[in-house]
Amino acid sequence: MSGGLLATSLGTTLLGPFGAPLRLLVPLALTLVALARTGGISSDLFPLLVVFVAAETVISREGGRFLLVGTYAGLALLVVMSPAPTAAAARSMALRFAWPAAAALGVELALRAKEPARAFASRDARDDAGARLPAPPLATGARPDRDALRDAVRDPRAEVLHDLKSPLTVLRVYSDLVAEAARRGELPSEAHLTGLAREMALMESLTGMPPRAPAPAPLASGAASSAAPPAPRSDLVRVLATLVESYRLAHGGRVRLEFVAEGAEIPVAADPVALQRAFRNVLDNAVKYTPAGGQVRVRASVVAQHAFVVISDTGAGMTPDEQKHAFTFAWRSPSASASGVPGRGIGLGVTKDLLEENGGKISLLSEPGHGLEVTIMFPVAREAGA
Amino acid sequence: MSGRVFVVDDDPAMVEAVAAVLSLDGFEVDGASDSTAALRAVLSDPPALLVLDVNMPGLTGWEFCEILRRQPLTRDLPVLFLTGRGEVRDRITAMQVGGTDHLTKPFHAQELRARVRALTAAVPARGEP
Repeated sequence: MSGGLLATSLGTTLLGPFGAPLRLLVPLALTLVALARTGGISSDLFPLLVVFVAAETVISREGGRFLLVGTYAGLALLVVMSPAPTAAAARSMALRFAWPAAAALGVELALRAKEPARAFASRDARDDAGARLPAPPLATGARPDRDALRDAVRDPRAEVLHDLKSPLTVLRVYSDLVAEAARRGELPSEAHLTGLAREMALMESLTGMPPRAPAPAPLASGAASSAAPPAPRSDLVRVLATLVESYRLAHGGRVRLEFVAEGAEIPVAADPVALQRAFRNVLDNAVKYTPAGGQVRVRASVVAQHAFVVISDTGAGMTPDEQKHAFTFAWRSPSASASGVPGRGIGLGVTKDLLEENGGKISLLSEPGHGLEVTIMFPVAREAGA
Repeated sequence: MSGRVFVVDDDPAMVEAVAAVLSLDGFEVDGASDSTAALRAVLSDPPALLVLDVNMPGLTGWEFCEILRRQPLTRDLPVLFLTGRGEVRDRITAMQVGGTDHLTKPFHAQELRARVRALTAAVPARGEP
């Protein structure tokens, strides 16, 4: 009976994906040393091991699994290196194996049963980089297991494709709607034209094409002019109000979003699409890294002919070292990676480029544990309507 | 009026675009970009149809659908996956987790409308081919 339980525990444990070798080797070495120093398999160390394994399982799901693997491997090695046990000793040993395994397994199963959603979302996508893309079973009626579902979705290739296909889909949808209106002999709706122009600009900026005139041209605007396109101009208040409202709709149930503007309009000489992308990246981060019940504040103001946008959150913040690397392309801090929040460390670097191309500047201020404050500055545009 | 459709996609622009399409057929469209908040909303007030992205931070669409299938109120809720994942095995997975239909991005607005109408048994809209 004990052997069966042990085999079940081992099987469950070994199903977990393997990652950093140190997480396996460290507990293995610790187990060997501890057991050797305290008298081997017959020592009183087992209760401590159980507490350690159970606590580790609760604190970190993956850490718990790795520790279990290390513990089993260490004990197995110890058995191999010991003199041949008698049948009674072997039985006693099997019993000692079985009950810590059963305790840890019990905690694991209880956690899964109570919090299915958290169990799904608790792993860092980065650990999956380069991992196999599991082929879901083709047998009729078979259901893929949770890890297979999660690994398949978090595959880095799938994420890149997703980033490309989403704007393309939105573009096609609005094109279809405009074409459909034309087929009916009707004018396309203003909202559909705006959506089309916005996504077209986004696609062009993603592919590095030079930006066009920023404002969507209504159909009735007359013949195209051969004159140079007007300098880009945006109203920060309008861009931010729209963005914050969309984030409030999407994330308002989890995080409180607040927008305060000093003035009805803050004109800056910047491309509105670039601004929207830049602010969206910063807001994405703020919302992602702010725990449920937290707050994200966006403040826009003008001081001495400079517009300031301050986006602050009540998330975990950044250490000085993390702030130093925050704008490095594809760099992710260890704490961000460990948080389980998906990301590729690209957003802030892209944001800095977008802002600087449009005459803006960005800086960070943070104390670990006290949130992050991102300040973005632009010179105010001199003439309204320029 | 053809019922209420709930759209879940981590890209707010996608939610907006799908809403623009479905509103042509008289659907009332709600949406969310946060999958966890969306799950709460759908479980507390199930719509006539759920349109679900797959690749999302937090809960993926497949996991989302599996959870719905375990709840009595949403066990039979029609779920249309909208995803960039179009391989055969992805479509099979979508069905295995309880999805009702699957549409690969980028899709045409007309196809989305046709599938949503079929899933909600709605009548064809004016001017539709």
